[in-house]
Amino acid sequence: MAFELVMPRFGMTMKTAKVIQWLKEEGEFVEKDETVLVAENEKFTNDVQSLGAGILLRKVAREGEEYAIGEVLAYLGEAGEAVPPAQTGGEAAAAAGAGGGAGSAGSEPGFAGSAGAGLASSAGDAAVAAGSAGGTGVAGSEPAGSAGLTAGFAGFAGTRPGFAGDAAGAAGSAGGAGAGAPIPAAGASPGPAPARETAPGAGWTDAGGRSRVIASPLAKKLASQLGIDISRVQGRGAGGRVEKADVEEYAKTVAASAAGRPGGGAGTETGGGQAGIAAGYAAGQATRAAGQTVAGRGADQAAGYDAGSAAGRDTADAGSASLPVAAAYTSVHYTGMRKAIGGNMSQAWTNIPMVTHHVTADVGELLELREKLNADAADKAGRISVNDLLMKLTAAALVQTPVMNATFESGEIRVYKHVNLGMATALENGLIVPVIGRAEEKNLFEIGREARALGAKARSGRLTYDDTLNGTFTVTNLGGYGSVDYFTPIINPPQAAILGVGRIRETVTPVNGEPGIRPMIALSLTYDHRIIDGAVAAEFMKILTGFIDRPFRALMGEKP
Amino acid sequence: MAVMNLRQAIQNAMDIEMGRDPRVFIIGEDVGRNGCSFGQYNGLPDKYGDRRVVNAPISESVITGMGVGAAAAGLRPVVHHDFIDFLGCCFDEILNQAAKLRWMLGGQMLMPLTIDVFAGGGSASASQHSQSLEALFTHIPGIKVVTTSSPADAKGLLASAIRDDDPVMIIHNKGLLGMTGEVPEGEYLIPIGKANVVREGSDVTLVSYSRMVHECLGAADDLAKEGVSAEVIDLRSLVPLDKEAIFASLEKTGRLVIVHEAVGKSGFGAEVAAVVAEEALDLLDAPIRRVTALFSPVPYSAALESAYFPDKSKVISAVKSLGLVKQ
Repeated sequence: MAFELVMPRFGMTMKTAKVIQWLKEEGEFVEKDETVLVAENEKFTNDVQSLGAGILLRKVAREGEEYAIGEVLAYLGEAGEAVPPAQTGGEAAAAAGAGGGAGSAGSEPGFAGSAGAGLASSAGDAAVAAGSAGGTGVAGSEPAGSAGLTAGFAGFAGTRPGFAGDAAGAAGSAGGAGAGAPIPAAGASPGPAPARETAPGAGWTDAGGRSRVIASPLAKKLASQLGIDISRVQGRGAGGRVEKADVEEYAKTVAASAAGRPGGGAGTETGGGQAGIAAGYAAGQATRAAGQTVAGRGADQAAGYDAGSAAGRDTADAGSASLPVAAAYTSVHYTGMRKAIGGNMSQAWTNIPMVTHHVTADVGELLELREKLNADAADKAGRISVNDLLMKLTAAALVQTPVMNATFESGEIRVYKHVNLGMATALENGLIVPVIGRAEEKNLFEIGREARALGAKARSGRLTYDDTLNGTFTVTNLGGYGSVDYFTPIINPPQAAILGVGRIRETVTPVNGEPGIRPMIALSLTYDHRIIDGAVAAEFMKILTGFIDRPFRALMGEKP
Repeated sequence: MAVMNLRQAIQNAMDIEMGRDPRVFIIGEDVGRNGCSFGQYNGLPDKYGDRRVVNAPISESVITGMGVGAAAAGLRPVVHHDFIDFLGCCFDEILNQAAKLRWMLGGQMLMPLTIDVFAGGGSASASQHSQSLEALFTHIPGIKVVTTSSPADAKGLLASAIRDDDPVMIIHNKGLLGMTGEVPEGEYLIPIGKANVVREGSDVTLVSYSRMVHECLGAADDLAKEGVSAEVIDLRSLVPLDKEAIFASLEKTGRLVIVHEAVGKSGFGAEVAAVVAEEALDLLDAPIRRVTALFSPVPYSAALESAYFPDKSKVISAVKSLGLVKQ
């Protein structure tokens, strides 16, 4: 009996993951629990393993494309066993979770009904363009969803809502059965896999989880008609508002990237769905622009437009002295890890009344200790770092102040028996916090080894979700840059506190009543004042700085 | 076509309408043989006599009340007031009589009353002679309210108002009295309830009426030099409102700036904005902007007055605030 390999969930916030690489070929035998492919979500790279033994009968997923949790990635079974040729509409909808794609098409058949005859000639052209660009690929590949979208597009081309009209009719005849019969198309077509560019079905299903996007009503309506997730569109209106032109530009980008893929854009194998629609839209707009004098929204806009549209605007824009907007900045999408970090930080900043204590500690003895420990280290990789020592001492101090080793979640304060120490680690494009579990039970060398291993994994993108789970306290160390003394770290929710470590500096300080020069380190402790009071935090810092002052004794287990 | 100024256009319309219909007469302060305040009825007392150009005592209440009674009795009076500012004195005649009678009597009588009035400032005439109070009357069901922005419009709308069987308030702007323009000769009617697209454009819609239409046109000229194509709509008729003209324009532009000389608070621009938000939100690609007078009595000082009223530069600023001109 053939069985499915589906996209697993790698983390609480995961919605989709991208298939990075297939490790097995069709026809190859796969053991139970053997890794079949590698997938990556916003933070982690994970192995996707088979839940049973069998021959890989058909790869459904494509490398480089996103799949929602539960979507079928492959079929396994016995040799020669029949499997579904490809995803059908029914499966796509089911896999998307709540059937968002099909649902929205079903609930908005009115798109076709409200299509209008407004700009008759250009509407006709646009619809024909939609038909030839999106073609039957649209109808065949994204069954329910894209049929609705096709009709929606035709409605837009008409521009004048309120009348059943020529535009819808034109789309219907040019675009094949898709626009004409939105609902029955579901499941009827054994066509190829849907285009995955933005997975409109899945994207819209998760409305509750997405943050609000500032966009004009017109931009929202257009994005909805084109099946574009508006949160992916970079807004360039006043205050960053997404406007119609931004959606149009995004649609063209999608169309262009679809055209660049094998079989894309032309409404064949992979080019159906959104890409086809976007291509059709771009073509339609080009037609409109050519037939109409568009007095300039500026050369800046023209820069991002397709050739047809740009040509239409060039004459109108001649003499415009404004610089192209595109030249003024690089647009970076706020997605993936960046968005995940942003969400966490905003949540903490908004919800947690945070206080930060600053203190300087003498690390003279700690540096001596480190030197002695490293004197006979076999190789550089085995050397103990200042951070290793601070992690170890922090774990020891947390054992003495258990209330600092806590999380605040589900309405209760959870004080932990073990110290799972998070280690904030900078990446090229972000930040991740792998966790050293039961740090209080580990000796200094174990902590050092684990910290180095986790750091390397993080930087090479091989960290798994499990590596970041269950942290109870976080240390974030900017000391290595030599440019930061104190700072105000933001709590890694739901944890109760975070320790920021600054640089070590030779500082003139009283030593036995005389001015002396000592290496001093800057420490900043941010805590959640809802559950920790200043006295407790001060007590924790007193213990920690005491340990740092006398690290030999602390490491030997002496209590303060 | 003849070139005439706005007061001549009014005189021309009155002459034609009085000539073609003996039921039409004028009543107002200073409209008689000794001349009228703005000269718009010059010659008519001599031509039609004292019984058809009635010079009334200084009582807005009496003047308007007589108009209501005459209209109810079958005449087609043109009640003239020099200043919209003083309609408070005859508000009951307008609000509770003119606007209501035809409805309360189940349509058994007509109310072909025209209230012809001047509004607007800009001539350092202080708080009581400079206001634009049209919104007070657009709030009253039963009265049509139209505004004029050119000599031709004054002629065509006044004639239509006189021939309308409902009360129509036609509001001219004192600042446009001397404006000259081509005016069709002979009988000329402009339908009430239709807006006038006075300039076509594709980037932003400037909805205005009365004197501010000209500030919008000036702004559109300047904006064109910066690559922004502004469409200017003169509403002409506030009640009934030509919503379709606004929506059709927004389908092209996606951006709406409303400009009027009256103060913004509870002004007619608020009604336009609300209608668009309720019925055509999806056409908007940017927030709606209003450019209006400041919410204070009209200042007497010419310097303050010019800062108080909207003008071309304020319209341009509003358009630019929509992100249309990138610096």
